[in-house]
Amino acid sequence: MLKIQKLGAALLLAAGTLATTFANASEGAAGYAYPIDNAYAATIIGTPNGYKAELPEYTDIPAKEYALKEPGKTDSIPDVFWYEKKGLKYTLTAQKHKAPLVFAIAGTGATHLSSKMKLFQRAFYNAGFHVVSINSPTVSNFMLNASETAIPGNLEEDAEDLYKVMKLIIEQHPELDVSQYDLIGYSLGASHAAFVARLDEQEKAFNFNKVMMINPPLNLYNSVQKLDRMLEDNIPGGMDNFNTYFRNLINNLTQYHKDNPDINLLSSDFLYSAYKDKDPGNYSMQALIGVAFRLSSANLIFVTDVANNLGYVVPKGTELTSTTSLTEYSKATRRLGFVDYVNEVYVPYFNRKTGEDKASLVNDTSLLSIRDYLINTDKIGLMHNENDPILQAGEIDQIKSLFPGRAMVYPTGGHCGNMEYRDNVEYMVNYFKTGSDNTATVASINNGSMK
Amino acid sequence: MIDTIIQKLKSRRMYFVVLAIVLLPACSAVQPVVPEDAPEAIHPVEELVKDDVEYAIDIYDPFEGMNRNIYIFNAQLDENLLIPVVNTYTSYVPSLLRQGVHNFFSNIATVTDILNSGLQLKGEKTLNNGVRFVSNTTIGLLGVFDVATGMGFPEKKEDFGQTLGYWGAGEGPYLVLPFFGPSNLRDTTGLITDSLVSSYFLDEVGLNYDSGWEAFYYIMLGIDTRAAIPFRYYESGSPFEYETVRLLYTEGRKVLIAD
Repeated sequence: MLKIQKLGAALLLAAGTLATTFANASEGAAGYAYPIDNAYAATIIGTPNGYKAELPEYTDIPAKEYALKEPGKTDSIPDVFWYEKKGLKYTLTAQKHKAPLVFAIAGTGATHLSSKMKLFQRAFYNAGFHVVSINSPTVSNFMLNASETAIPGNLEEDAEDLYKVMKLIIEQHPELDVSQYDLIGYSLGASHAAFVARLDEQEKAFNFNKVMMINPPLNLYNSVQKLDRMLEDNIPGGMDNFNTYFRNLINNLTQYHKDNPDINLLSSDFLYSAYKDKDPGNYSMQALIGVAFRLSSANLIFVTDVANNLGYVVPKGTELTSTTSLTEYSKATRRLGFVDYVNEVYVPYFNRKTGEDKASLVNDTSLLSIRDYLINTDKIGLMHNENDPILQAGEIDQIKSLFPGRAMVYPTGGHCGNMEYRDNVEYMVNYFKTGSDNTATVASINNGSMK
Repeated sequence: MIDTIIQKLKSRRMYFVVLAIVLLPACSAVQPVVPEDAPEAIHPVEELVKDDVEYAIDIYDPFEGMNRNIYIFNAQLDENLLIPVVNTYTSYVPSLLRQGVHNFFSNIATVTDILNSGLQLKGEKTLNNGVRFVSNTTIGLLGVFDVATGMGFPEKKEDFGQTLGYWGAGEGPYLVLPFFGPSNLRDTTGLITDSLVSSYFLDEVGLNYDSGWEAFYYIMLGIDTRAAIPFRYYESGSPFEYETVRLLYTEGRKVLIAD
């Protein structure tokens, strides 16, 4: 759901405003040695160097970017998004021989080039798969080029858009020799993967062999509510004081850089090192996670508003060109939350379309709405973390119950923070490498807990 | 030296930097055009954005219209020329050789690192950069091998923009430069100064127009520089990418100046 590392926002995690003592990362349960116990820190920092799986660099695999143009779609893209007129972008890393193909779906606000998508490319190409990375239906490139409505969040409709895109991508590459199809997604992309898999049971275009869901929300609406509040509840003095919070972060970052001139500001270890030396405290870190999410939701709100001429923040008919200043709209949309989008754009639109009320529409964004499918299929596996901060209390247990015998839940890792950790990468690769029966592999990995 | 500087200013590679400054007053920000009869938005900007609240994203950018045009120019230059060239470079030239090329250019840049550390009275940094330059130029065979880092003298970059900032110069207006990307008046002044010093140094060691190697040198420098920057235009997934880049550049420079 978050694309923290990708956004420069991560750089803003500075050494702490609160002088809390950092309890040294102790070993997780059952020998799981991912080094960051704190759920918020894990979400922000990810996996420090030295703990990452050993994989080829992204620049050393034959990853190629392509664009997919749907006839007629390009003309309707507003000029302010001129750079999206090249079509839906995706990445394909192809083997030179017959191989299984993994489709990967990005999380909220993330593109096919996000660091987690590059991880999939590196890990699965290295393990002998073709890999196709697809943007999240929540980013402008997908909304404008591949969505029927440009109003994302309806998992069933998003899945239909994704499914259509996946079929067109395969058509675009007749040279690919594919033995079977697999599917993986993280965060909201994991929820999308479940709905795509379910659609495929009827359509049968791919007959997915295996599907893996990494850190999905149980209920999208519950999670976005929680993420909205992470920002708003943790800025001292409220959102009007955001600038003070921001300046504070920058000052702390500056000071830390000054005190530690030998740690490269742009290296992935800077944040980890800053966190270990000066824990900024949970409030500050929650706010930062909230910021990253808020940036994604503001992007989405602006794009859906303009693309559909909704008159939500931008008055109807406003002329925006490739060089119009958007600064005021960026400020305005960042003051709205994802929940505002749900209540004021999403629910009214789908209510008109289907007649469903809000409660029913919110339930549709939950994995529980496809409970029977998830429990009964044997092709979908789960990788999750006990301390994922996007979940509300008790939700992790409900999620586990949907994947009997197919859930790998690690004690730590926060939201997707441990995806690059060596045990996690090994587990996800083995999950797809072993045939329909993955019992042997699971038994050999003692970390985490099999439920 | 003055003659050399004037000649450099006339030479083509300075053309675009100078052009940017000359063009400065040419255009200002383009504001959205709202139709007269448009109904008020559900959440108008005036409701959400308050006058008495400070916003980090507000950065002094009086030439925004021109800057956005140059931003687009740079994006297209990237797509049609630089990235294809960089991709060819990285696929055909082995990484060991590319590293050597990178080290070579870094070593020449150490000349300005030394000067600027000195101008900021940073004794330890100046010494570090001095030792780096001497050892890499000699033992490191004209900088192709970075032996200094292993000897405990890592790269510590300082440019003239940082020097100006160190002595209290403000940023001035934000500028997007053709080819070079995000900058501001202070850093553009720094860039021109550092370039002049570099080319003076290169002249002294015999790499000049007459040698025939100058064009090759700058083409390779351009390729190496672009290859080292992972940023790709319009891949952030954000319609506010221009604003985001402007903020990160400005804040990032503040951090670098403060050290």
